[in-house]
Amino acid sequence: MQTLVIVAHPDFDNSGTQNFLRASSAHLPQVQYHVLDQLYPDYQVDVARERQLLQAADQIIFQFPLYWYSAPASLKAWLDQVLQTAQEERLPDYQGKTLGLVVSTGVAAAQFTAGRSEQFTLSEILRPYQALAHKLHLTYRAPLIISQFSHTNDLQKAQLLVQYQQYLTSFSDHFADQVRWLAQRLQDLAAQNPEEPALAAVAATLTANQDHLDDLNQTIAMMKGGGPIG
Amino acid sequence: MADSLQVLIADYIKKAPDYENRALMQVAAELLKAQAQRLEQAEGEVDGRTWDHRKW
Repeated sequence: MQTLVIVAHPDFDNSGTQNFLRASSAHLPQVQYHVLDQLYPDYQVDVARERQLLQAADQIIFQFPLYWYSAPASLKAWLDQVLQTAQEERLPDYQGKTLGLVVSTGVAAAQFTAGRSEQFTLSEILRPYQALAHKLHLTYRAPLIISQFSHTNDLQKAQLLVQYQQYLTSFSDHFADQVRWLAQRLQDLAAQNPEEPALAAVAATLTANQDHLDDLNQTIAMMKGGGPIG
Repeated sequence: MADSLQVLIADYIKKAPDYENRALMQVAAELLKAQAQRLEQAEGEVDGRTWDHRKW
């Protein structure tokens, strides 16, 4: 799966969140980073090139900090130019591709709800991107939200690293798929580092536990459905 | 989670030079805990449904 990460951030190099995300994805071979503010500081977009990049991607990610409930200007300029069609011209067909969002917020995620300081949910605030995906026949996936990155502790950063890598390389948010994805990563690392027994041991335990869990869940599903008890 | 596995994990996290590998292991340890909880719940549900008196 080829993932194109389109980043809008006016000060990308000095952003702690963006630096962390970029470093987290640096070793993923099928991920291409595309920082709009650095490529087009004057907002004059090379439309033909951008459309080529879109065509080559299976998954397109818009990654940006939430500025006044929207993306920074570079993303809007990019959208306005790349999606603008001349008379009689049709946009390329994006059917089969996926649109994901990686959005960082300075406000705690819990505040984005009715009755709290931001009043509206992030699903509501990010609705224009969902509408865009709908219009372009892209599959819209649940955004990855990063709230108050500077307040996160060591474990939360580790979890974000894994979550972000999974978001860029897999379409599934299911627990079982996350486990199997991580087990595979550890297994690959174990092959490269045979002197580290923890890698293979943890990969094997994660897989065995998940197999057992899947069996139990299947049994429960059969019991609920009134079928034979396994 | 078996004690020996916990020791291996703690040891790896302490000495792994690469941040990314360390992070993967930290998350793996959390997933093992989550799996243990889910296994306990699923086993409990299978037991509960097996002993459902309406199906006796």
